Amino acid sequence: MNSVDDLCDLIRAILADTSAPADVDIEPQTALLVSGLLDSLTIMRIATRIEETAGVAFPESEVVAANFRTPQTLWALVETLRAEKSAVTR
Amino acid sequence: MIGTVTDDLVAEWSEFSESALGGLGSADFRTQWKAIAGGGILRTAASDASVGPVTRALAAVEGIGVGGTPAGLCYALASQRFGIQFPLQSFGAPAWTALADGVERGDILLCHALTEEGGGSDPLSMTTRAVPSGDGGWRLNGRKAFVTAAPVADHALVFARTATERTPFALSAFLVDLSTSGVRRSDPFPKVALTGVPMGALDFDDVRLEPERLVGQEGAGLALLTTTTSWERALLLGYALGPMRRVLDRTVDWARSRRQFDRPMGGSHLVAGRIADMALAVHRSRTLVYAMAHRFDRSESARSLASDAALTKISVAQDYLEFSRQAAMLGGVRSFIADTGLTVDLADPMAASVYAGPNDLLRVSVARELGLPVQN
Ligand SMILES: Cc1cc2nc3c(=O)[nH]c(=O)nc-3n(C[C@H](O)[C@H](O)[C@H](O)COP(=O)(O)OP(=O)(O)OC[C@H]3O[C@@H](n4cnc5c(N)ncnc54)[C@H](O)[C@@H]3O)c2cc1C
Repeated sequence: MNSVDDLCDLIRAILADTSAPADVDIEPQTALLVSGLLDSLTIMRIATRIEETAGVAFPESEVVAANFRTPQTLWALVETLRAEKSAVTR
Repeated sequence: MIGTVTDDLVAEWSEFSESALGGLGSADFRTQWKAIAGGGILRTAASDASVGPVTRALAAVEGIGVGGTPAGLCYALASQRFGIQFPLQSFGAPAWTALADGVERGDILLCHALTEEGGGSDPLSMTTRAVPSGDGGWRLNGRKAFVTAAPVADHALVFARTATERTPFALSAFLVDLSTSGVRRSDPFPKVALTGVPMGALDFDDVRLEPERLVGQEGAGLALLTTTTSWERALLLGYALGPMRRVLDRTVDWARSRRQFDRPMGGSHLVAGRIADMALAVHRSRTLVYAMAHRFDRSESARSLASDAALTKISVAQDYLEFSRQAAMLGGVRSFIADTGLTVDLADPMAASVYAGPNDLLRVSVARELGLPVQN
């Protein structure tokens, strides 16, 4: 996963798998929370898929609204987690 | 995994519990709790290469059950150990760090306050509410009900609404000292399952909470709940393994010694087959629960284990109930008389289909994970 657009693809794919309306488009600034798009299982699934594809651990304590507001805020978290990880392994 | 080391641990804990509870048969819940906790069952053991801390804790829970510890006490210990302690440890909350030592010694008792009268299956419907008090702290109002150990606990892990909307991030978790002013514990409910541990309600009337009582960030209730429920569903029913093994052993003895139709009862193929089915239920449940313990020991995340934890919970709850039905049938009338040594409690195993997520709600989550368009 290399960009916020990849992350949008990931979210789109997960939503397509659930019973969410298929016609919502996911852009970097799409408000994920106000629209009621994400229920708890979807949120947990996004966190798990990010772990699998971005190669970072998604701490439970980061599963909070501030990070799930838009794909952009989620992407910012992924970049932070990656930076922390490479600082540790360096 | 299950092996000679775990079998040895189970045997050690069985012996320990028999001597620790000897003479305490009529003692109150906290006294019995402290006696068992004194053996270190609530302490995280130093990791050793062969058996991880979760497997050790499970073997301890199974062992005390094999040793004859009342099912309600086994349940309560397993519930605190797996449903509260391990998750809080992995979540890393400062409010927990302050309590950990006393909890591990058995001096501080915890309870898990999620359910409300209005909606057990549907946590997002909760009305218990925490609002910022202006100085970084919170004010808590509401009522939690049907909480195991509430009438005797010292602290509660309380889930409360910190936002009004029905979104997954509307919930937060707090570790609440139950001696704080404004907290009221109910009398024990007249519960008919797992009677060895009291259950009750907690009322919060404008309870002042310091900022550090919040577990994780505001809105992290969902994440913590995912963690606690995953641990619970994977391991809580480990409490039943010991009692099941005892019932299996005594049913075999009974079928060998009771004579009818001029032969031992166990000479009937039908009786023998039912006992084999009972052994199958124990084997399957043990294998599943220990496999989950092993995966937690390998540091697989609670979130990634959620679906398998749900499957484990459904399976063990069903097996435990079917197992108990067989035992009750084979014990005949003695299953229903208190001092026969063959009494079977059908309420305990039935309750397992309700707590830690009703089985049917878990089925829906599992089906959804498989890709079906269903929702609870
Ligand atoms: C022994 C025991 C110990 C407990 N300990 C605790 C504790 O320590 N802390 C705590 O917070 N709570 C505790 N509980 C409460 C428990 O969590 C709740 O009983 C559980 O969440 C179910 O809620 P309810 O009883 O209100 O059932 P309801 O929500 O009223 O549901 C009743 C039944 O209806 C069916 N049902 C309802 N909705 C659906 C649906 N959408 N799909 C399919 N089926 C459905 C299910 O079969 C369910 O069992 C305990 C319960 C028991 C029995």
